[in-house]
Amino acid sequence: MANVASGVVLAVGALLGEILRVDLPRLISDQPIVLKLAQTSPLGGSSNNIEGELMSSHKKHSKVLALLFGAALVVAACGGDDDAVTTEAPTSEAPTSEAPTSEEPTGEPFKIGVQNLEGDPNGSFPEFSIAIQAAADYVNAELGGLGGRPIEIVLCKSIVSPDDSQRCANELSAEGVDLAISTINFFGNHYSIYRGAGIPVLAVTPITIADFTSEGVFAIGAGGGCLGVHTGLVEFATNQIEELEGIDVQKVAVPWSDTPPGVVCYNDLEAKPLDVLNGSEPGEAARAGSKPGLSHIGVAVAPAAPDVTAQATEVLDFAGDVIIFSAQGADCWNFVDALGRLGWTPESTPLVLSGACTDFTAMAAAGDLAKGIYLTGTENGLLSPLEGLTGQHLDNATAYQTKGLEYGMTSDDLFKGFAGQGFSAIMSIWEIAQGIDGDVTGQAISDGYGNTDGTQPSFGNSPLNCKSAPAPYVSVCGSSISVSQWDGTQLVLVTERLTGLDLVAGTALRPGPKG
Amino acid sequence: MFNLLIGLGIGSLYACLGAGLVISFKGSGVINFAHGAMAMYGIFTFDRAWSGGEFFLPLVDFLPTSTVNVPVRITLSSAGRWPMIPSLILALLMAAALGLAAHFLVFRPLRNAAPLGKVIASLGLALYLQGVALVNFGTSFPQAKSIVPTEAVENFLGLGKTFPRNTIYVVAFTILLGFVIWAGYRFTRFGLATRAAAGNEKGAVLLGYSPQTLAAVNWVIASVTATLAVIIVGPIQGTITPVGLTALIVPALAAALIGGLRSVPIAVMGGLGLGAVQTLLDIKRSDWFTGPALGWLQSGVRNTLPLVVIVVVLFVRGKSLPSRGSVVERRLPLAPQPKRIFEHAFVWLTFLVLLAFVFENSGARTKFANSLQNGIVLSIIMLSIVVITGYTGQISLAQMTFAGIAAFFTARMMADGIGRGANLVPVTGFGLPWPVAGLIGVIMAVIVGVIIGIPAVRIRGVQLAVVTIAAAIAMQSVYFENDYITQLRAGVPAYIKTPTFFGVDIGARSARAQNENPNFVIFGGIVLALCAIAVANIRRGGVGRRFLAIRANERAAAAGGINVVRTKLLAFAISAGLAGIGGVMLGFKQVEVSSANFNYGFGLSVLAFAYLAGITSINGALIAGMLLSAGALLPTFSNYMFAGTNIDKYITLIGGLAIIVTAIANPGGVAIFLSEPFRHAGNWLVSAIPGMQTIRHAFRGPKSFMVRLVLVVICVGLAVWLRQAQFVDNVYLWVLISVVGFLILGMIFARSLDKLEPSFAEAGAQWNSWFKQFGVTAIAGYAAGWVIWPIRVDSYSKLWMPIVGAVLALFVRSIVKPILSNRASKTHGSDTDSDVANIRTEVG
Repeated sequence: MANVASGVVLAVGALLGEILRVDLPRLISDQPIVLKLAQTSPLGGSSNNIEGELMSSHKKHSKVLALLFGAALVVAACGGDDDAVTTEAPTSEAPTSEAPTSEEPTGEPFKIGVQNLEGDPNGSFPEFSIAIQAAADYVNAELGGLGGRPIEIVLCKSIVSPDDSQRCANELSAEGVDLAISTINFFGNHYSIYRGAGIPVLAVTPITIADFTSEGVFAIGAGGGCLGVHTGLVEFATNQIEELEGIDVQKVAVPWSDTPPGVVCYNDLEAKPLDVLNGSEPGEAARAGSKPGLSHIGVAVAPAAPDVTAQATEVLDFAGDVIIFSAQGADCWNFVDALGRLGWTPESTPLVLSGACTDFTAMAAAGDLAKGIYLTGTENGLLSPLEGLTGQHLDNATAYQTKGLEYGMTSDDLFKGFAGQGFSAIMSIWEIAQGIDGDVTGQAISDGYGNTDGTQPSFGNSPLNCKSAPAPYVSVCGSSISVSQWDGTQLVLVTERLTGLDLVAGTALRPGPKG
Repeated sequence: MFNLLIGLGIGSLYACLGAGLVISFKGSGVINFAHGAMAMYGIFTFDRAWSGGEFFLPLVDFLPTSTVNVPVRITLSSAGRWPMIPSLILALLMAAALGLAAHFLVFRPLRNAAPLGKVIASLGLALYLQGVALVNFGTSFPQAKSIVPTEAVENFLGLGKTFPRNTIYVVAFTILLGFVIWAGYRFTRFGLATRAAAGNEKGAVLLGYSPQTLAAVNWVIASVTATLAVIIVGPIQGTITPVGLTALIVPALAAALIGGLRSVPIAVMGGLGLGAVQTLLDIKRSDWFTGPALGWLQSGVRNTLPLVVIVVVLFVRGKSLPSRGSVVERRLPLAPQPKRIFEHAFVWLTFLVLLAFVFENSGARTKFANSLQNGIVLSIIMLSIVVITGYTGQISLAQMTFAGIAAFFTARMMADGIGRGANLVPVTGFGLPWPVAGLIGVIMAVIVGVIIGIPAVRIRGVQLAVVTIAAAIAMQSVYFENDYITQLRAGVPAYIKTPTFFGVDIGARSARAQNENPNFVIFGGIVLALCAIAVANIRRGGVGRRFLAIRANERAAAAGGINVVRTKLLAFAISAGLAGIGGVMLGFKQVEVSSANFNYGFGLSVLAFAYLAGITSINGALIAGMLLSAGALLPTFSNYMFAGTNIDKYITLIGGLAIIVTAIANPGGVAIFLSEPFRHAGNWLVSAIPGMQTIRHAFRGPKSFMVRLVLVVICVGLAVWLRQAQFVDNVYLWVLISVVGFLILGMIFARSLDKLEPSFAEAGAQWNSWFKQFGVTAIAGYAAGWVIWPIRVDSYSKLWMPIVGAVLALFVRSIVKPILSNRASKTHGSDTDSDVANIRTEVG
């Protein structure tokens, strides 16, 4: 009856829904992705062979899981699996599918605690931990571990509850992990526990305000979270899009996600830079005051709301030149659907969504309504089809799509955005460890991240720049984004790299509505 | 006008679900909280068949083999898609099967149960379906495809605006559905029989109708119509999730109540109207609700509307609403008078100290400390449910709301205008010290509790449950997430500063910021003990008897001179106060509390756990809080034992099943099974520790309480002093020294009163006797633990694993033996000497 009671709490807690007033993102993707696995193999082989291989792998995986489950019920036994086999020295080059193998890591295991949501009807993302484990196995087996220390993943499965969020932090701290990875967490109340224990944390999917503002935390995922994405949305919607769409933007409608981080991110990183642009807020940006006639409206959209017709009506009544919306997964497409039902089309008013909205199933289902929508993303996304990729992007995507399968991921897992982020996190740690002279410890990794300045490439990500994180967003390690447009079948890159960070430079923090 | 019309889409969903609730209530007297969940499974079935060519039975393949499987997944088409019409038929058949299963497996066995049992069972059913959906359909929930046209209508009705065409279709469908159902119940023999049975079940039986057959058919109709409605109307709300549809139960209940739980057409109209007005308020809230007088309503006006509707309807029509009676209705489980608190306290302390050492030795100190802190806080909240539901019979689903009000007020009273923790927005406050702030928080919880309890003056049972859940939802947005009032928007957490006592940190966090500060356990333990003693005294006193009288029969109580109104409100006040104390303690434990902590869903969960453990006893509350709840001891222990397995996949559905089984087979909860072992263990401890009987029997009444209080204060003071002086670094060595110190102190005190009773020799004889009685079981368990230990590869030691085995073996024995002896006595034609009968005789 393991954890039965806690499961009941979470599930009864889930009962009658709308529990946490936060969305349960299904896919937070970081890069333009095309789901064409059947036609275009990332491995370069025939799709039939790959599918067969995957099916076989999947069946084996199921059997193993079933056996594990049965055995566990009887003996409750568990153990590690460190069968690393490597022959060559570690390399600081970005790993590829054909990366040279390294010496077997023999040092004391480097414990990485992973706090992940699993088993909760409100939000369950096992692909995160599966990908993290696969990446760890890959690093141990082929890349020499972290400075000769094998990675040991200590997983704490959490439910969507503030209590459980802290429980996991407590337990992982008690386990003495060297480093923690916080996947998706809706509360951000766990960081103080890690900080007290002196454990650095990687926020792989930063969504709460604590993800961006906590000391000892490095928000490396999703394009720097809202700092990069929201300011980037404003920059794109008031600058680059004018040329792309041939419009002069004077009115911006901003539906925003009514969640704890959403409040701050909207007020400080969308409303405020828009005010900087129209001159009502002083700022240091070159474009400050360049659009004196610019007006904007903010419309709060509660996550998982049963009906957002009212909010869509309010947005359309404003008759903006462009709409920007930063939300997650289903909420984005629910809102797009509501807009569509009220007669909106991407042709009538351009819509720019955050990368967290990337959901190919929903986009395909939306049909023409999604065609022409812009989505933000990051460089070097791992889920991209390999065709046409070059350089680091090709290396990273190839490594992920081959090694992921090789080390226990299924094809279903492989093409989930969270899986890519989980895999990237471990590879990023490995990259940081490669640059460490001396012992690889949690503190050394922390220092390594703290010293990133945007010049070093990052696996599956834009280059990290934790060093320049502006207060109060001291955890944010990236602020540049890319923008792509959905053409009905795939995302087409329209702006390779942009940042709107300068729009908030030199401004006072505005965590709430403008006084 | 346009803004009203645009809301008819969501109103259709309320209307259809509300109509289904009316049907199931008419058929079986159940307000089905699982109604949305049943519809959810139906639309998932439809979507998966239509889009994926697959069909999933509402089961899971739990067998850990690849050769022998439970059939769950059926491939309908290798092409990956199935035609729409067959998919629709399949989904409706699934809905029908679910309706039948719900009736025959869950609600038929509960046909004579108290309303609380039915509410709990429907929660269990919803959980089960959510759990199955999670396992079978995964977490990538479908954005359901609309089967009606979705394009826009330009210049709708000349209003100059674009209108969604699918809203027109779904409204038409909803009205048609309402009409068809109405006609069916109005003009068919079956409908007349159902109405007859709803009015008077005995009369229906006399006329030759089987109420259960009628109920079964009504369940099928309710389930099928809900599924059909959600397939047609549901896509209007975007992605369908297992909990998403269930969330609509409150506005659907409001619609059903507008229809008086009788009239489907009125419920349909009510649902449509509710959706329309809600949407209008949503659009106009920033225009209409401004200024100091109304500005605070901007945040919660949408969610408050169903509450207002429900309260108004119940207040106006409360007496005329049908209370669908059955031929016989069982009462709630017996509420035993608390006895032998001294012994019970001993057992709990012994158990926790032993467990502490097990965890310490396994290297899991922090896990244990955290779970102990959780357990203490939850136990206090569970006690509040014992008072309001267990003793008074009022089903309150708002206990976590009361806790939240106290916690948020405490935070605000302690705030000093500085943004802390995860909240960058500075919150102004009075900077009060924690005792004052906490007290104000609890008082506010009491006030709100009394206000929410006012409807209970006129209503009770399931109807009160509906009011309290609506109130809980409304409070979520009206207060917890209302920046106008709390300066905390959308769930931003409130920060509660660390409490200190004469300079001693009694907060939950240790110096290394982990939830393991033993001082908090002492602090919380004292608060819990005081709350438990207070509840015990309430139960034993006149107030408790008045509560029980109202629980049994309000009219009889009133006839007996009890002021029913005052007594009910008193129960709400006490209960809200206890929940408020729990909320304040939760705040101290968690430092940052947000609306998510006090969501109404968690209110349901604590009620379900209280029921599972035993809702009518203090021991039940402690078992629910300390052992069963999330983050408490049992889940923590099982997490540790079953680490690495995939069992968490099945947690939700196992939990749902456990709740259903409890509601049907064992309404008394786990506490029934444990009451005898507790009694025996307590008696044994008192007779096996020298001097304890002397203390136990030395004083009576208030004097006894005072003497024990002084002893506790001395012991706790000693423990805290030892801790603060840091004579020993190891926390559990400190615990051990403290416990031994307590025992020696007790013996000295007992000796000063009189001779030691039991003496050392008598105590030794008790130990000897224990070994003769339980030694074999303990040794067998010890041996099993010793055998199992080598299989484990973690830090569990060779010393403690066998001891855990021995404890588990004794635990199993304590459960199995009463059952076997009960059976044996039944076999012999008499149950007068069975353990369970003994308990009932004792408390009855």
